[in-house]
Amino acid sequence: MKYLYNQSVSPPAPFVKLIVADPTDSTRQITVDAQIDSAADISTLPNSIVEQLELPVSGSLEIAGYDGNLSIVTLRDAVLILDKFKFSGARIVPTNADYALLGRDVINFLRLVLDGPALTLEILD
Amino acid sequence: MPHLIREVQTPYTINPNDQAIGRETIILQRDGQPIAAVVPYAEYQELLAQRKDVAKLEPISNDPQFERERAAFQKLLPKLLKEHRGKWVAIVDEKVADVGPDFSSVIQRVRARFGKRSVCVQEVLETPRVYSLPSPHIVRR
Repeated sequence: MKYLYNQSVSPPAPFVKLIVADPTDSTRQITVDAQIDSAADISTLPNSIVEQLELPVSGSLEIAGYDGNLSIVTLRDAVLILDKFKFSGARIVPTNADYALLGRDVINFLRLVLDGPALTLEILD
Repeated sequence: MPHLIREVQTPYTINPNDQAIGRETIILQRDGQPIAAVVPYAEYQELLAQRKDVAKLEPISNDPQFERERAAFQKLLPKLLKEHRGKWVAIVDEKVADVGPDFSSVIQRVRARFGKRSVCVQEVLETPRVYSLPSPHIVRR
């Protein structure tokens, strides 16, 4: 599956269409734009998606943000579906952003080709 | 291993020259039932520190059920470190409901068993792991 970079951000960035499902009812799904972020240890979801799917609280963890400040946040769990790949029991940090981040907890299971000059991202089988 | 030294009568004394004191945990019994433990001083200080940690555990959400599970995890942590160090545990109804090698396997079993409810699945470590999320998102509690 090949995706064009999202060119509404500057510079353009690799985004995918991510399906998020309720961990207790997989028929409840929402599709969200998700940026590939190899700097993130963990994946995030917009708070609006977390609230719509009523994703349950499943723990807490300490996050070091871009400014180095630490904060303790609650975790949610969800099922993430990306093309042919399904991630059950995925850990999610809710954020105020309007798009998701796919961190290394997810992308380390994938073979990705980032073609910067062509502004494309390909997920290999 | 705890070392049972004597059946005590009230009042009782402990000989500080006893070789076991300060080296291992000594259980005092009355009528065959444990009534007190003499622990090495360093261990006593650790216990005090842990008690303070639990007392100062500030809520991070407005979800009382989750906060109860989180407090139970902190309370159980010394025992969990002995039994499940490095593993992931699920606390449900303030008790250990599941243990496994990773978050994903534990939470999937917990959801299958308990459905959609607040639980506390944590890695059993003395110091919590810090996750890096350097993109400038505003993390919500």
